Amino acid sequence: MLKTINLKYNYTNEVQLSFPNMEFEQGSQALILGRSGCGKTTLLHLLSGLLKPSEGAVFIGGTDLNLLSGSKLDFFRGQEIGIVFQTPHFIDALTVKENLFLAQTLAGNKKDLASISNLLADLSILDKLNVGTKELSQGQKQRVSIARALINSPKLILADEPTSALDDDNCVAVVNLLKTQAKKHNATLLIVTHDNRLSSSFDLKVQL
Amino acid sequence: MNILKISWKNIVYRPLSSGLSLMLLMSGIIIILITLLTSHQINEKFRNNAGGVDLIIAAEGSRLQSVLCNLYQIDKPTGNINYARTGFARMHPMVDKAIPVSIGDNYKSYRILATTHDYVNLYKGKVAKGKLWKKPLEATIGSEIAKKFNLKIGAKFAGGHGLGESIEEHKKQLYTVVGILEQSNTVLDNLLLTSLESVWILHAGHNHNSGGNFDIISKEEHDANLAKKKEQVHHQEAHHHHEKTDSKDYDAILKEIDFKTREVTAMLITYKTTRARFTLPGIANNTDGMMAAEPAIEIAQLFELIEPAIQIVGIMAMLIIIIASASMFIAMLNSLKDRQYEIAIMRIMGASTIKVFSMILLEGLLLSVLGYMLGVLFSHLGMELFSDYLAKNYHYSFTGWIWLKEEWYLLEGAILIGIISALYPAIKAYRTDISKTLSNK
Repeated sequence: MLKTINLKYNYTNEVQLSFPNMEFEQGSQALILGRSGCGKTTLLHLLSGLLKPSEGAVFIGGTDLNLLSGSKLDFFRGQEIGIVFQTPHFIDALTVKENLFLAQTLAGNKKDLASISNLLADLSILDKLNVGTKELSQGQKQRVSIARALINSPKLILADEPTSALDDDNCVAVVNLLKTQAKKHNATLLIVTHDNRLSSSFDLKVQL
Repeated sequence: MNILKISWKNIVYRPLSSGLSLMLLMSGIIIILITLLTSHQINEKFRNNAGGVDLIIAAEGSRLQSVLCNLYQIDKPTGNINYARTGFARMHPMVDKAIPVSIGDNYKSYRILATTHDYVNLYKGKVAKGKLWKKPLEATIGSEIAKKFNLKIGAKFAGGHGLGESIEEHKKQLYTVVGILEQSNTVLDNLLLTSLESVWILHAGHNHNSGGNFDIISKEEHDANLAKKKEQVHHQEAHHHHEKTDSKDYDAILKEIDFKTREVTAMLITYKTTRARFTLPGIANNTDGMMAAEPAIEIAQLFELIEPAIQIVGIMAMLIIIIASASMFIAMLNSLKDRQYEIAIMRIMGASTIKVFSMILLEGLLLSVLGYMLGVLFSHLGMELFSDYLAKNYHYSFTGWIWLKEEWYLLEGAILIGIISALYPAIKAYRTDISKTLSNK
């Protein structure tokens, strides 16, 4: 489902990051571990097409990201990849519901309040449906960003340090949510992290 | 969730900075538009009221004043001239029409103008009801007057002495309305017209010494007069039907009025040929106590005087609009700093660079078009309110409900300002490196 071949990225002229070849089946869940500064975020950006590799290629569901460009790549990302960041960001002018509507329409889907409500209920934040995103707590924000990553039922969910800003309770809750939701939507889940609290929850691990 | 809606939500989300930009732009539009609406209508009035008059012969004084008074019915008369001594103008072979006007009395502050039927023709006035005046003390009134004071054919009214709201009235001799003119959008609408003889008769033995003098009386006298006036009205109504106008009486009075004391305020002259301007003004200026004023020249000079003032207002409005544009630009650039993550997130969700670019540009456009619409709304509303004040003071009717083609240019200008202010922020949003933005947590 996800395959990287000979992936390299020139961070500057001197510093070149190279990544091991990886291949994941549809529905698999894996941790990508590495200390700070070893290029975890860079890898995630390469996998999601936010960065172009200097060498090598990324295939998602058979599509070579190198062959997509401009708005096609943006659209592909919106449809096929859900991303969760360490610090969640939203369009502050919009409510939770409107942010999720936006995620749906930008990916070319219809507005679907029922699926939004279901998702928010699964993440136990249905009561925040009409709240402005500024008013949410950090844990609630992370849940909404998970909802946003899942709302278009993407094939791939990428998470960049999703738990490092959370306390232990929230950490466990968020990881469990990510795992169960990914499973429910049959999405491949890759979590890039240096957070050792997660190690025990995953069988599949890649060390950078 | 289309981009338009997101742009709109973003504007509403920042009410202070959006409001400031909006208010500045609106103010600029209002200043420009009210200036345009006023000057457009003043120009139109001056054009409509010029009546093709080539020359005005009046008592010595300010030429501009005599033009404003006798042609545009705004200023006060410069004095009176002897009607018999204006023969040189009436007989001049190159003169088409020499129309006498006599100004000095009013009805509830609206002017009673004594003249000949040629005056009505000057403005292509048509009788809507009744007829033009014939006998002394018959009056044909303008459409606005008829409407305003609900004067019908057969109604009687007393002329007031002077041009302001006067207290002294010619109560013994009342005017009778014999006709009402059609609306012509000229001075005719706000005048009460009568014959020269009417004025001569009313002022017989009454040394009426030029116009414009207000009669000053004490408050007590005023109240007493008011009470009398009310009685008068009752009296009028009671005697309305069996009162007969004895024109022979007037003839008798007229006979006793010496030609030397028959005065007019001015002669309005139209030329048969423009060559008349080389002789007639000279004759008039050389006649004792008289002067000639050419409306075209006087009005051109007046506009020349006003022009810089209008220009200054225009420059001020431009400045405000430039400030509005700058404020919009700065506000958007500032908000972009906070919103770089939002833009990155939108891109993550599948928005293309063009979409992000359009969203920011649309915010500028929405603000400027909204500012324009509010500006247009308040300008016309303000003009309409202002017009009552103008009408009270100048007896010219203005309106806020006219639409100028310049308003389209203003809309184009507003759109341009929206684009100019938002273009750089939009380009910046377009160029946002999302990977870098998201890495700098």
